[in-house]
Amino acid sequence: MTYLGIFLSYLLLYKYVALFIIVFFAGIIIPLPINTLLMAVGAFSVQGYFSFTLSLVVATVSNVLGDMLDYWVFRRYGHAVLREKYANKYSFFLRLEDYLKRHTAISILVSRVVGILGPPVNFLSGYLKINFGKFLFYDVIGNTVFVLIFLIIGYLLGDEWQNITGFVSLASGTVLVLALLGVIWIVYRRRK
Amino acid sequence: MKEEAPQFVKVIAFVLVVIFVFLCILLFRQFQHAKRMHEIDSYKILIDNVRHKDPLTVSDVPIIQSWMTFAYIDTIFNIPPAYLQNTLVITDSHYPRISLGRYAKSQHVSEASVVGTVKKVVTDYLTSTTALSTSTSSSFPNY
Repeated sequence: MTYLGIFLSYLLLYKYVALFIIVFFAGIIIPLPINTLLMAVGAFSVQGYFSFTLSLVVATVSNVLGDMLDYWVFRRYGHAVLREKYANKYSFFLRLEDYLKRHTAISILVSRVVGILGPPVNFLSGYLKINFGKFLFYDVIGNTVFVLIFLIIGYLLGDEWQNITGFVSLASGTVLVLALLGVIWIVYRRRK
Repeated sequence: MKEEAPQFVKVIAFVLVVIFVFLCILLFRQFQHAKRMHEIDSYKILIDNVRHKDPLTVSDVPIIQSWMTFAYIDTIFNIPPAYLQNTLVITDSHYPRISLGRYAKSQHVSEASVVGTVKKVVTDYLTSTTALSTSTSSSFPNY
């Protein structure tokens, strides 16, 4: 069985519990094939094996909880970890900090959709002690959109979803590289 | 603030641009491939998928894979839960909440052989039920 197959089996066996756990750990920082799994759940809901609405709620709530854990850990311990070891040494970090302070909403929203940028933004948000209500508001909106996009793709593709996983993974990778280039551009662009 | 990016950041950015171009080419090729398979170029297919909530048919049997559980296969092909168990003489207590891959491992046989056998049994079941429903409907006179 493939790496993805193992997660799909657990989804079929433990349904929403498995969905909650997988999305929660993906939300914290563990790189899991979350886009493909959400697409699969969307397809399973067409077949009547999952409820679309319940899947949306479970995946969104677990993703938000994972993000909140990141936020609170770094709000509590971030100063000791980041300031001492990295923040004072690297100007890149300071610029990123500065950007996140000035553009909190857009940073949180975009990072939810780009997946792997999520945890670093959660860490920085906690570390910078960004207002929790504000963080939660944009986190819930961003995660709902993210989960909804992939559930709908799976729902629309139905039984064909397996044929398109390669395309979706590649598209996600391309968006990620573009996002990283965007971060570098934002941090190092010349400001007048 | 007017500062130049350090040299290593420029190198990283250059590498990312190269990766990005490479990924775009791969993405385009994948898109063309998927388009050839008529999977993403027709809204009609997408809408049909949404409407198509009936159980799957014989032509869908190739989608069976080792990660699927017996319960899931029963549901999507509308097979009575006991059918696969009786036909394949499955004594595992976890049935039907066990994946084909896990079942193959527990029986010390290859995944491919279990998947192949299940595909054959499902095909036989669907063929027999289709033939039965066709003969039943044709035995009534048309008025």
